[in-house]
Amino acid sequence: MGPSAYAFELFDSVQVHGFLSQGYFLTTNNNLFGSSERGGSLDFTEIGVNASWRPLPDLLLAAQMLSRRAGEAAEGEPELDFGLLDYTVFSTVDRRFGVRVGRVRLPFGLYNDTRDVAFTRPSILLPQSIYFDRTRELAISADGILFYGETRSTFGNITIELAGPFWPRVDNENSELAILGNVDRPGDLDSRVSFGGRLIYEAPLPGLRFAITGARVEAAYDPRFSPPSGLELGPGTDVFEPLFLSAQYDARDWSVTGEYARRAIKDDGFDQGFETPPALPFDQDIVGESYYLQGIYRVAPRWELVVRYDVMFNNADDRDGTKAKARFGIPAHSQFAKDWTVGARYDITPTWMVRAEYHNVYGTFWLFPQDNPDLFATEKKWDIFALLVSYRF
Amino acid sequence: MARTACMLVVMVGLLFRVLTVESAVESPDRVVVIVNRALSSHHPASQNMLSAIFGMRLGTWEDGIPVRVHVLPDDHPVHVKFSKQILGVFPHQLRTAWDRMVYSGTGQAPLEVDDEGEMRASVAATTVGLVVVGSEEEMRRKVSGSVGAIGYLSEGMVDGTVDILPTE
Repeated sequence: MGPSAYAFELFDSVQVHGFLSQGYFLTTNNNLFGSSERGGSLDFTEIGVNASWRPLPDLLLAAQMLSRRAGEAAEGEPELDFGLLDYTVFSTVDRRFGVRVGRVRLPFGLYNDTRDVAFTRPSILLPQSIYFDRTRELAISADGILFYGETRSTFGNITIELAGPFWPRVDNENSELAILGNVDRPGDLDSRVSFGGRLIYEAPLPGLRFAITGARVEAAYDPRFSPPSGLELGPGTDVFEPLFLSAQYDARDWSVTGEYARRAIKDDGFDQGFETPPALPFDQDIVGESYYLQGIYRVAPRWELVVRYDVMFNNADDRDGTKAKARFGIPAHSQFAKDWTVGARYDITPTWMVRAEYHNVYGTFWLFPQDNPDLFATEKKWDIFALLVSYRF
Repeated sequence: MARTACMLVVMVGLLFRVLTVESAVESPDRVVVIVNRALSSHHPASQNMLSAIFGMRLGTWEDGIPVRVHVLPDDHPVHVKFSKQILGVFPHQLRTAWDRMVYSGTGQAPLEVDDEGEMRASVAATTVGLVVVGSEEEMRRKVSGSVGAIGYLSEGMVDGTVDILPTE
Protein backbone atom coordinates (compact mmCIF):
# COMPACT_ATOMS: atom_id res chain seq x y z
CA MET A 1 0.00 0.00 0.00
CA GLY A 2 1.34 3.38 -0.97
CA PRO A 3 1.53 6.50 1.18
CA SER A 4 -1.79 7.83 -0.13
CA ALA A 5 -3.65 4.91 1.46
CA TYR A 6 -2.14 5.73 4.85
CA ALA A 7 -3.08 9.40 4.42
CA PHE A 8 -6.70 8.35 4.09
CA GLU A 9 -6.33 6.04 7.06
CA LEU A 10 -5.09 8.90 9.25
CA PHE A 11 -8.36 10.78 8.90
CA ASP A 12 -10.52 7.67 8.64
CA SER A 13 -11.53 7.98 12.27
CA VAL A 14 -12.90 11.54 12.23
CA GLN A 15 -16.46 11.62 13.49
CA VAL A 16 -18.87 14.52 13.70
CA HIS A 17 -22.02 14.39 15.79
CA GLY A 18 -24.47 16.93 17.08
CA PHE A 19 -27.93 17.78 18.23
CA LEU A 20 -30.56 20.47 18.01
CA SER A 21 -33.41 20.96 20.45
CA GLN A 22 -36.25 23.45 20.68
CA GLY A 23 -38.45 23.77 23.74
CA TYR A 24 -41.66 25.45 24.78
CA PHE A 25 -42.39 26.29 28.41
CA LEU A 26 -45.66 27.46 29.94
CA THR A 27 -45.87 28.23 33.66
CA THR A 28 -48.77 29.13 35.94
CA ASN A 29 -46.53 31.41 37.96
CA ASN A 30 -42.92 32.61 37.82
CA ASN A 31 -40.71 32.79 34.76
CA LEU A 32 -38.83 29.86 33.36
CA PHE A 33 -36.65 30.48 30.31
CA GLY A 34 -38.26 33.79 29.47
CA SER A 35 -41.79 35.07 29.93
CA SER A 36 -43.35 31.68 30.33
CA GLU A 37 -46.44 32.86 32.21
CA ARG A 38 -48.28 34.69 29.45
CA GLY A 39 -48.60 32.50 26.36
CA GLY A 40 -45.52 30.47 27.16
CA SER A 41 -41.93 30.88 26.06
CA LEU A 42 -40.07 29.48 23.07
CA ASP A 43 -36.84 30.98 24.37
CA PHE A 44 -35.17 27.60 24.79
CA THR A 45 -32.88 26.27 22.08
CA GLU A 46 -29.89 23.98 22.37
CA ILE A 47 -27.47 23.46 19.48
CA GLY A 48 -24.36 21.36 19.79
CA VAL A 49 -21.73 20.07 17.40
CA ASN A 50 -18.84 17.84 18.33
CA ALA A 51 -15.93 16.34 16.47
CA SER A 52 -13.57 13.56 17.50
CA TRP A 53 -10.48 12.08 15.92
CA ARG A 54 -8.29 9.08 16.70
CA PRO A 55 -4.98 9.73 14.94
CA LEU A 56 -3.56 6.75 16.85
CA PRO A 57 -5.45 3.91 18.57
CA ASP A 58 -4.48 5.28 22.02
CA LEU A 59 -5.03 8.95 21.31
CA LEU A 60 -8.37 10.74 21.06
CA LEU A 61 -8.94 14.41 20.34
CA ALA A 62 -12.47 15.63 20.94
CA ALA A 63 -14.24 18.97 21.18
CA GLN A 64 -17.85 20.13 21.43
CA MET A 65 -19.29 23.58 20.86
CA LEU A 66 -22.62 24.59 22.34
CA SER A 67 -24.99 27.42 21.71
CA ARG A 68 -27.87 27.75 24.13
CA ARG A 69 -30.79 30.11 24.34
CA ALA A 70 -32.46 29.81 27.74
CA GLY A 71 -34.46 32.87 28.68
CA GLU A 72 -32.37 35.65 30.15
CA ALA A 73 -29.75 33.20 31.40
CA ALA A 74 -28.32 32.32 27.98
CA GLU A 75 -28.48 34.28 24.74
CA GLY A 76 -27.07 31.79 22.25
CA GLU A 77 -23.42 32.79 22.56
CA PRO A 78 -21.23 29.85 21.47
CA GLU A 79 -19.25 28.22 24.24
CA LEU A 80 -16.65 25.49 24.33
CA ASP A 81 -18.34 22.65 26.16
CA PHE A 82 -15.28 20.43 26.13
CA GLY A 83 -12.00 20.32 24.19
CA LEU A 84 -9.56 17.65 25.18
CA LEU A 85 -6.79 15.23 24.42
CA ASP A 86 -7.27 11.73 25.77
CA TYR A 87 -4.34 9.34 26.01
CA THR A 88 -4.98 5.73 26.96
CA VAL A 89 -1.84 4.61 28.75
CA PHE A 90 -2.82 0.96 28.60
CA SER A 91 -5.89 -0.95 27.53
CA THR A 92 -6.51 -4.70 27.86
CA VAL A 93 -9.67 -6.74 27.94
CA ASP A 94 -9.86 -6.39 31.74
CA ARG A 95 -8.24 -3.05 32.43
CA ARG A 96 -7.88 0.41 31.06
CA PHE A 97 -6.03 3.46 32.33
CA GLY A 98 -5.58 6.88 30.80
CA VAL A 99 -5.52 10.63 31.18
CA ARG A 100 -7.46 13.54 29.69
CA VAL A 101 -6.18 17.09 29.43
CA GLY A 102 -7.96 20.28 28.47
CA ARG A 103 -11.54 21.29 29.12
CA VAL A 104 -12.95 17.99 30.36
CA ARG A 105 -16.44 16.89 31.30
CA LEU A 106 -16.68 16.72 35.09
CA PRO A 107 -17.57 13.26 36.36
CA PHE A 108 -20.50 13.40 38.71
CA GLY A 109 -23.77 11.60 39.15
CA LEU A 110 -25.40 9.52 36.44
CA TYR A 111 -26.50 12.21 34.01
CA ASN A 112 -23.84 14.93 34.03
CA ASP A 113 -21.87 13.30 31.21
CA THR A 114 -24.54 14.09 28.66
CA ARG A 115 -26.75 16.71 30.29
CA ASP A 116 -27.05 18.96 27.23
CA VAL A 117 -28.23 16.22 24.90
CA ALA A 118 -32.01 15.92 25.06
CA PHE A 119 -31.90 12.28 23.85
CA THR A 120 -29.87 11.20 26.85
CA ARG A 121 -31.77 13.12 29.52
CA PRO A 122 -34.60 11.28 31.27
CA SER A 123 -36.91 14.30 30.83
CA ILE A 124 -36.89 17.79 29.30
CA LEU A 125 -35.48 19.25 32.52
CA LEU A 126 -32.97 17.25 34.49
CA PRO A 127 -33.78 16.76 38.17
CA GLN A 128 -32.73 20.20 39.38
CA SER A 129 -31.90 19.07 42.90
CA ILE A 130 -28.82 17.29 41.57
CA TYR A 131 -28.26 18.92 38.17
CA PHE A 132 -28.80 22.51 39.21
CA ASP A 133 -28.96 24.38 35.89
CA ARG A 134 -28.38 27.70 37.64
CA THR A 135 -24.75 26.62 38.07
CA ARG A 136 -24.38 24.49 34.97
CA GLU A 137 -21.05 26.00 33.87
CA LEU A 138 -19.52 25.02 37.20
CA ALA A 139 -20.80 21.48 36.92
CA ILE A 140 -20.58 20.60 33.28
CA SER A 141 -16.88 20.94 32.53
CA ALA A 142 -13.68 22.44 33.84
CA ASP A 143 -10.14 23.09 32.67
CA GLY A 144 -7.48 20.72 33.94
CA ILE A 145 -6.50 17.08 34.10
CA LEU A 146 -8.51 13.95 34.65
CA PHE A 147 -7.24 10.39 35.25
CA TYR A 148 -9.45 7.44 34.49
CA GLY A 149 -9.23 3.76 35.21
CA GLU A 150 -11.48 0.79 34.55
CA THR A 151 -11.40 -2.77 35.69
CA ARG A 152 -13.80 -5.42 34.43
CA SER A 153 -14.36 -8.84 35.96
CA THR A 154 -17.07 -11.38 36.68
CA PHE A 155 -17.66 -9.49 39.95
CA GLY A 156 -18.63 -6.41 37.99
CA ASN A 157 -16.97 -3.38 36.48
CA ILE A 158 -15.45 -0.49 38.38
CA THR A 159 -14.71 2.84 36.75
CA ILE A 160 -12.82 5.53 38.65
CA GLU A 161 -12.32 9.05 37.39
CA LEU A 162 -10.22 11.54 39.33
CA ALA A 163 -10.30 15.12 38.12
CA GLY A 164 -7.60 17.37 39.43
CA PRO A 165 -6.13 19.75 39.52
CA PHE A 166 -8.89 21.55 37.67
CA TRP A 167 -10.13 25.12 37.57
CA PRO A 168 -13.93 25.62 37.54
CA ARG A 169 -15.56 27.90 35.00
CA VAL A 170 -16.39 31.01 37.01
CA ASP A 171 -16.03 33.56 34.24
CA ASN A 172 -19.72 33.65 33.29
CA GLU A 173 -22.96 35.21 34.47
CA ASN A 174 -24.46 32.10 36.09
CA SER A 175 -21.36 31.42 38.19
CA GLU A 176 -21.00 35.04 39.30
CA LEU A 177 -24.63 35.20 40.31
CA ALA A 178 -24.39 31.92 42.19
CA ILE A 179 -21.18 32.78 44.07
CA LEU A 180 -21.41 36.56 44.50
CA GLY A 181 -25.17 37.06 44.30
CA ASN A 182 -24.68 39.85 41.80
CA VAL A 183 -22.90 40.45 38.51
CA ASP A 184 -21.96 44.04 39.20
CA ARG A 185 -19.34 43.42 41.85
CA PRO A 186 -16.08 45.27 41.33
CA GLY A 187 -12.90 43.27 41.01
CA ASP A 188 -12.41 39.67 39.93
CA LEU A 189 -13.83 36.26 40.66
CA ASP A 190 -11.17 33.65 39.99
CA SER A 191 -11.19 29.88 40.08
CA ARG A 192 -8.87 28.08 42.43
CA VAL A 193 -7.34 24.61 42.26
CA SER A 194 -10.14 22.10 42.67
CA PHE A 195 -10.48 18.33 42.82
CA GLY A 196 -13.23 15.82 42.30
CA GLY A 197 -13.82 12.18 41.57
CA ARG A 198 -16.42 9.56 40.82
CA LEU A 199 -16.49 5.81 41.28
CA ILE A 200 -19.04 3.79 39.31
CA TYR A 201 -19.72 0.16 40.12
CA GLU A 202 -21.63 -1.88 37.54
CA ALA A 203 -22.89 -5.04 39.19
CA PRO A 204 -22.80 -8.45 37.43
CA LEU A 205 -26.58 -8.11 37.10
CA PRO A 206 -26.86 -6.13 33.84
CA GLY A 207 -28.42 -2.72 34.32
CA LEU A 208 -27.62 -2.34 38.01
CA ARG A 209 -25.13 0.34 38.89
CA PHE A 210 -24.06 2.54 41.73
CA ALA A 211 -21.96 5.67 41.86
CA ILE A 212 -20.35 7.87 44.47
CA THR A 213 -19.05 11.33 43.63
CA GLY A 214 -17.17 13.86 45.74
CA ALA A 215 -15.48 17.15 45.01
CA ARG A 216 -13.90 20.28 46.43
CA VAL A 217 -14.54 23.24 44.15
CA GLU A 218 -13.05 26.58 45.09
CA ALA A 219 -13.28 30.16 43.85
CA ALA A 220 -11.82 33.37 45.23
CA TYR A 221 -13.10 36.92 45.03
CA ASP A 222 -10.82 39.95 45.00
CA PRO A 223 -12.63 43.27 45.04
CA ARG A 224 -9.38 45.11 44.21
CA PHE A 225 -10.12 47.99 46.49
CA SER A 226 -7.41 50.30 47.63
CA PRO A 227 -8.37 51.26 50.28
CA PRO A 228 -11.51 49.16 51.03
CA SER A 229 -14.68 51.21 50.77
CA GLY A 230 -16.18 49.64 53.88
CA LEU A 231 -19.46 49.13 52.08
CA GLU A 232 -18.74 46.21 49.74
CA LEU A 233 -17.84 42.55 49.86
CA GLY A 234 -14.30 41.94 50.97
CA PRO A 235 -11.87 39.40 49.51
CA GLY A 236 -13.42 36.03 50.22
CA THR A 237 -13.24 32.39 49.25
CA ASP A 238 -16.12 30.17 48.26
CA VAL A 239 -15.67 26.44 48.79
CA PHE A 240 -18.24 23.94 47.56
CA GLU A 241 -17.85 20.35 48.75
CA PRO A 242 -20.64 18.10 47.51
CA LEU A 243 -21.10 14.40 47.96
CA PHE A 244 -23.42 12.45 45.63
CA LEU A 245 -24.73 8.91 45.95
CA SER A 246 -26.41 7.35 42.93
CA ALA A 247 -28.16 4.09 42.16
CA GLN A 248 -29.94 2.82 39.08
CA TYR A 249 -31.54 -0.37 37.86
CA ASP A 250 -32.19 -0.42 34.14
CA ALA A 251 -34.28 -3.39 32.96
CA ARG A 252 -35.69 -4.11 29.54
CA ASP A 253 -38.91 -2.15 29.87
CA TRP A 254 -38.35 0.04 32.90
CA SER A 255 -35.76 1.66 35.08
CA VAL A 256 -35.59 3.10 38.57
CA THR A 257 -33.07 5.78 39.47
CA GLY A 258 -32.32 7.56 42.70
CA GLU A 259 -29.67 10.10 43.59
CA TYR A 260 -28.91 11.84 46.86
CA ALA A 261 -26.57 14.73 47.60
CA ARG A 262 -25.17 16.62 50.57
CA ARG A 263 -23.97 20.02 49.39
CA ALA A 264 -21.64 21.84 51.75
CA ILE A 265 -21.00 25.49 50.96
CA LYS A 266 -18.63 27.70 52.90
CA ASP A 267 -18.18 31.39 52.15
CA ASP A 268 -15.49 33.07 54.20
CA GLY A 269 -13.91 36.49 54.27
CA PHE A 270 -16.57 38.38 52.34
CA ASP A 271 -17.90 40.20 55.42
CA GLN A 272 -14.53 41.75 56.22
CA GLY A 273 -15.22 44.33 53.54
CA PHE A 274 -17.81 45.95 55.77
CA GLU A 275 -16.69 48.44 58.41
CA THR A 276 -19.28 47.24 60.86
CA PRO A 277 -20.59 43.68 60.79
CA PRO A 278 -23.45 43.74 58.29
CA ALA A 279 -27.04 43.06 59.28
CA LEU A 280 -27.22 40.62 56.35
CA PRO A 281 -23.95 38.67 56.47
CA PHE A 282 -22.66 37.17 53.26
CA ASP A 283 -20.39 34.60 54.88
CA GLN A 284 -22.07 31.29 55.49
CA ASP A 285 -21.34 27.70 56.39
CA ILE A 286 -24.28 25.56 55.38
CA VAL A 287 -25.02 22.08 54.12
CA GLY A 288 -27.79 21.66 51.57
CA GLU A 289 -29.58 18.46 50.75
CA SER A 290 -30.98 17.05 47.51
CA TYR A 291 -32.57 13.84 46.35
CA TYR A 292 -34.87 12.42 43.72
CA LEU A 293 -36.53 9.15 42.86
CA GLN A 294 -37.43 8.48 39.25
CA GLY A 295 -39.17 5.73 37.35
CA ILE A 296 -39.06 5.29 33.58
CA TYR A 297 -41.39 2.94 31.75
CA ARG A 298 -40.94 1.89 28.12
CA VAL A 299 -44.53 1.21 27.24
CA ALA A 300 -43.86 0.41 23.59
CA PRO A 301 -40.78 0.37 21.35
CA ARG A 302 -40.78 4.14 20.75
CA TRP A 303 -42.67 5.35 23.79
CA GLU A 304 -41.38 6.16 27.21
CA LEU A 305 -43.06 7.51 30.34
CA VAL A 306 -41.28 9.14 33.26
CA VAL A 307 -42.41 9.87 36.81
CA ARG A 308 -40.21 11.64 39.33
CA TYR A 309 -40.24 13.32 42.71
CA ASP A 310 -37.35 15.75 43.17
CA VAL A 311 -36.53 17.65 46.37
CA MET A 312 -33.85 20.16 47.30
CA PHE A 313 -33.12 22.31 50.34
CA ASN A 314 -30.60 25.15 50.34
CA ASN A 315 -29.91 24.50 54.02
CA ALA A 316 -30.68 21.16 55.66
CA ASP A 317 -31.07 23.03 58.98
CA ASP A 318 -33.74 25.28 57.50
CA ARG A 319 -35.90 23.05 55.31
CA ASP A 320 -38.95 25.29 55.31
CA GLY A 321 -36.95 28.46 54.82
CA THR A 322 -38.37 30.19 57.90
CA LYS A 323 -34.93 30.82 59.42
CA ALA A 324 -33.74 32.50 56.23
CA LYS A 325 -36.91 34.58 56.18
CA ALA A 326 -36.38 35.65 59.79
CA ARG A 327 -32.70 36.40 59.24
CA PHE A 328 -32.61 37.93 55.76
CA GLY A 329 -36.24 38.84 55.08
CA ILE A 330 -36.35 36.80 51.86
CA PRO A 331 -39.33 34.58 50.98
CA ALA A 332 -39.15 31.23 52.76
CA HIS A 333 -40.16 29.44 49.54
CA SER A 334 -36.93 30.55 47.86
CA GLN A 335 -34.98 28.12 50.06
CA PHE A 336 -36.36 24.85 48.76
CA ALA A 337 -38.10 23.18 45.83
CA LYS A 338 -40.22 20.05 45.63
CA ASP A 339 -41.11 18.90 42.15
CA TRP A 340 -43.51 16.19 40.99
CA THR A 341 -42.86 15.47 37.32
CA VAL A 342 -44.66 13.30 34.83
CA GLY A 343 -43.70 13.12 31.18
CA ALA A 344 -43.73 11.19 27.94
CA ARG A 345 -41.27 10.67 25.13
CA TYR A 346 -41.90 9.53 21.56
CA ASP A 347 -39.08 8.65 19.15
CA ILE A 348 -40.49 9.54 15.72
CA THR A 349 -37.33 8.08 14.18
CA PRO A 350 -33.96 7.14 15.72
CA THR A 351 -32.90 10.75 15.06
CA TRP A 352 -36.07 12.73 15.88
CA MET A 353 -37.69 12.81 19.29
CA VAL A 354 -40.53 14.72 20.95
CA ARG A 355 -41.24 15.09 24.65
CA ALA A 356 -44.04 16.52 26.75
CA GLU A 357 -44.05 16.93 30.50
CA TYR A 358 -45.81 18.47 33.44
CA HIS A 359 -44.22 19.66 36.69
CA ASN A 360 -46.04 20.51 39.87
CA VAL A 361 -43.55 22.54 41.91
CA TYR A 362 -43.61 23.89 45.45
CA GLY A 363 -40.71 26.25 46.14
CA THR A 364 -38.58 28.40 43.86
CA PHE A 365 -35.00 27.50 44.74
CA TRP A 366 -33.94 26.61 41.21
CA LEU A 367 -35.56 29.51 39.36
CA PHE A 368 -33.09 31.58 37.40
CA PRO A 369 -32.60 35.07 38.95
CA GLN A 370 -32.09 36.47 35.45
CA ASP A 371 -35.69 35.56 34.57
CA ASN A 372 -37.00 36.43 38.05
CA PRO A 373 -35.04 39.47 39.24
CA ASP A 374 -37.52 40.26 42.00
CA LEU A 375 -37.44 37.48 44.56
CA PHE A 376 -40.53 38.89 46.24
CA ALA A 377 -42.57 38.64 43.04
CA THR A 378 -42.14 34.86 42.87
CA GLU A 379 -44.97 32.52 43.83
CA LYS A 380 -44.33 29.49 45.97
CA LYS A 381 -46.60 27.11 44.03
CA TRP A 382 -46.19 26.88 40.31
CA ASP A 383 -46.79 24.41 37.50
CA ILE A 384 -44.83 23.91 34.32
CA PHE A 385 -46.04 22.45 31.05
CA ALA A 386 -43.21 21.84 28.61
CA LEU A 387 -42.76 20.50 25.09
CA LEU A 388 -39.53 19.67 23.31
CA VAL A 389 -38.54 18.50 19.84
CA SER A 390 -35.01 17.28 19.27
CA TYR A 391 -32.84 16.08 16.40
CA ARG A 392 -29.45 14.37 16.57
CA PHE A 393 -26.84 13.19 14.12
CA MET B 1 -53.46 16.43 42.32
CA ALA B 2 -49.99 15.90 40.96
CA ARG B 3 -49.79 12.57 42.72
CA THR B 4 -53.07 11.46 41.14
CA ALA B 5 -51.83 12.52 37.73
CA CYS B 6 -48.67 10.49 38.19
CA MET B 7 -50.56 7.39 39.31
CA LEU B 8 -52.96 7.76 36.39
CA VAL B 9 -50.08 7.95 33.93
CA VAL B 10 -48.44 4.85 35.40
CA MET B 11 -51.72 2.89 35.23
CA VAL B 12 -52.39 3.94 31.65
CA GLY B 13 -48.86 2.95 30.78
CA LEU B 14 -49.20 -0.50 32.33
CA LEU B 15 -52.53 -1.02 30.55
CA PHE B 16 -51.02 0.03 27.24
CA ARG B 17 -48.13 -2.34 27.78
CA VAL B 18 -50.39 -5.30 28.53
CA LEU B 19 -52.53 -4.65 25.47
CA THR B 20 -49.67 -4.07 23.07
CA VAL B 21 -47.97 -6.94 21.32
CA GLU B 22 -44.21 -6.82 21.61
CA SER B 23 -42.95 -5.74 18.24
CA ALA B 24 -39.17 -5.92 18.76
CA VAL B 25 -38.89 -8.99 16.53
CA GLU B 26 -35.84 -11.19 16.76
CA SER B 27 -34.15 -12.85 13.83
CA PRO B 28 -34.81 -16.64 13.62
CA ASP B 29 -31.24 -17.38 12.54
CA ARG B 30 -28.31 -17.75 14.95
CA VAL B 31 -26.16 -14.61 15.14
CA VAL B 32 -22.39 -14.91 14.95
CA VAL B 33 -19.56 -12.42 15.38
CA ILE B 34 -17.60 -11.78 12.20
CA VAL B 35 -14.15 -10.30 11.64
CA ASN B 36 -12.01 -9.33 8.70
CA ARG B 37 -10.02 -12.27 7.32
CA ALA B 38 -6.75 -10.36 7.65
CA LEU B 39 -6.95 -10.46 11.44
CA SER B 40 -4.27 -12.91 12.47
CA SER B 41 -5.50 -14.43 15.71
CA HIS B 42 -8.90 -16.00 16.16
CA HIS B 43 -8.84 -17.05 19.79
CA PRO B 44 -12.36 -17.51 21.09
CA ALA B 45 -13.61 -14.21 22.45
CA SER B 46 -15.11 -14.00 25.92
CA GLN B 47 -18.26 -12.02 26.63
CA ASN B 48 -16.03 -9.69 28.63
CA MET B 49 -13.91 -9.01 25.57
CA LEU B 50 -16.91 -8.53 23.27
CA SER B 51 -18.51 -6.17 25.82
CA ALA B 52 -15.33 -4.13 25.87
CA ILE B 53 -15.11 -4.08 22.06
CA PHE B 54 -18.75 -3.22 21.33
CA GLY B 55 -18.80 -0.86 24.31
CA MET B 56 -16.04 1.01 22.46
CA ARG B 57 -13.61 0.56 25.33
CA LEU B 58 -11.02 -1.65 23.65
CA GLY B 59 -9.10 0.27 21.02
CA THR B 60 -6.73 -2.32 19.55
CA TRP B 61 -6.41 -6.02 18.86
CA GLU B 62 -3.49 -7.95 20.39
CA ASP B 63 -1.25 -7.12 17.44
CA GLY B 64 -1.90 -3.39 17.74
CA ILE B 65 -4.32 -3.12 14.81
CA PRO B 66 -7.11 -0.63 15.59
CA VAL B 67 -10.54 -2.19 16.24
CA ARG B 68 -13.21 -1.00 13.76
CA VAL B 69 -16.58 -1.82 15.26
CA HIS B 70 -19.58 -2.17 12.93
CA VAL B 71 -23.18 -2.29 14.11
CA LEU B 72 -26.66 -2.46 12.59
CA PRO B 73 -29.41 0.06 13.48
CA ASP B 74 -30.76 -0.13 17.04
CA ASP B 75 -34.11 -1.65 16.01
CA HIS B 76 -32.76 -4.16 13.45
CA PRO B 77 -33.80 -7.72 14.51
CA VAL B 78 -30.25 -9.03 14.15
CA HIS B 79 -28.90 -6.21 16.32
CA VAL B 80 -31.52 -6.93 18.98
CA LYS B 81 -30.56 -10.62 19.00
CA PHE B 82 -26.83 -9.85 19.05
CA SER B 83 -27.15 -7.42 21.97
CA LYS B 84 -29.23 -9.72 24.10
CA GLN B 85 -27.75 -13.11 23.32
CA ILE B 86 -24.08 -12.35 22.78
CA LEU B 87 -23.51 -9.22 24.86
CA GLY B 88 -26.25 -9.79 27.42
CA VAL B 89 -27.54 -6.20 27.28
CA PHE B 90 -30.48 -4.45 25.63
CA PRO B 91 -30.00 -2.24 22.56
CA HIS B 92 -31.00 0.87 24.49
CA GLN B 93 -28.27 0.17 27.06
CA LEU B 94 -25.65 -0.01 24.32
CA ARG B 95 -26.95 3.19 22.77
CA THR B 96 -26.80 4.97 26.15
CA ALA B 97 -23.21 3.83 26.64
CA TRP B 98 -22.18 5.08 23.17
CA ASP B 99 -24.01 8.38 23.63
CA ARG B 100 -22.31 8.95 26.96
CA MET B 101 -18.93 8.63 25.28
CA VAL B 102 -19.68 10.64 22.15
CA TYR B 103 -21.31 13.60 23.89
CA SER B 104 -18.77 13.83 26.70
CA GLY B 105 -15.67 13.51 24.53
CA THR B 106 -14.60 10.24 26.09
CA GLY B 107 -14.95 7.95 23.09
CA GLN B 108 -16.35 7.44 19.61
CA ALA B 109 -19.44 5.75 18.23
CA PRO B 110 -19.27 2.48 16.25
CA LEU B 111 -19.73 2.54 12.47
CA GLU B 112 -23.39 2.01 11.67
CA VAL B 113 -24.36 0.11 8.51
CA ASP B 114 -27.87 -0.17 7.12
CA ASP B 115 -28.29 -3.89 6.59
CA GLU B 116 -26.54 -7.26 6.76
CA GLY B 117 -25.27 -7.05 3.20
CA GLU B 118 -23.47 -3.81 3.95
CA MET B 119 -22.25 -5.23 7.28
CA ARG B 120 -20.63 -8.19 5.52
CA ALA B 121 -19.11 -6.05 2.79
CA SER B 122 -17.74 -3.46 5.17
CA VAL B 123 -16.17 -6.00 7.52
CA ALA B 124 -14.74 -8.00 4.58
CA ALA B 125 -13.42 -5.34 2.22
CA THR B 126 -10.40 -7.30 1.00
CA THR B 127 -11.24 -8.41 -2.56
CA VAL B 128 -12.00 -6.37 -5.65
CA GLY B 129 -15.63 -6.63 -6.70
CA LEU B 130 -17.10 -7.29 -3.29
CA VAL B 131 -17.12 -3.68 -2.25
CA VAL B 132 -18.81 -1.20 -4.55
CA VAL B 133 -16.46 1.73 -4.51
CA GLY B 134 -16.10 4.84 -6.61
CA SER B 135 -12.36 4.81 -7.06
CA GLU B 136 -9.21 2.91 -6.28
CA GLU B 137 -8.36 5.30 -3.45
CA GLU B 138 -11.68 4.63 -1.81
CA MET B 139 -11.05 0.88 -2.19
CA ARG B 140 -7.65 1.16 -0.55
CA ARG B 141 -9.19 3.27 2.19
CA LYS B 142 -11.86 0.68 2.87
CA VAL B 143 -9.32 -2.13 2.82
CA SER B 144 -6.81 -0.48 5.12
CA GLY B 145 -9.58 0.85 7.36
CA SER B 146 -11.28 -2.51 7.60
CA VAL B 147 -8.36 -4.73 8.55
CA GLY B 148 -9.37 -4.49 12.20
CA ALA B 149 -13.08 -4.71 11.40
CA ILE B 150 -15.52 -6.61 13.61
CA GLY B 151 -19.29 -6.97 13.33
CA TYR B 152 -22.04 -9.56 13.52
CA LEU B 153 -24.33 -11.40 11.08
CA SER B 154 -27.04 -14.01 10.91
CA GLU B 155 -25.23 -17.32 10.42
CA GLY B 156 -26.94 -17.83 7.07
CA MET B 157 -25.45 -14.62 5.70
CA VAL B 158 -21.83 -15.61 6.37
CA ASP B 159 -19.80 -16.49 3.27
CA GLY B 160 -16.12 -16.84 2.43
CA THR B 161 -15.44 -13.12 2.54
CA VAL B 162 -15.43 -12.86 6.34
CA ASP B 163 -14.33 -15.06 9.21
CA ILE B 164 -16.42 -16.09 12.17
CA LEU B 165 -14.93 -15.17 15.53
CA PRO B 166 -15.74 -18.02 17.89
CA THR B 167 -17.21 -17.00 21.22
CA GLU B 168 -16.62 -18.72 24.54
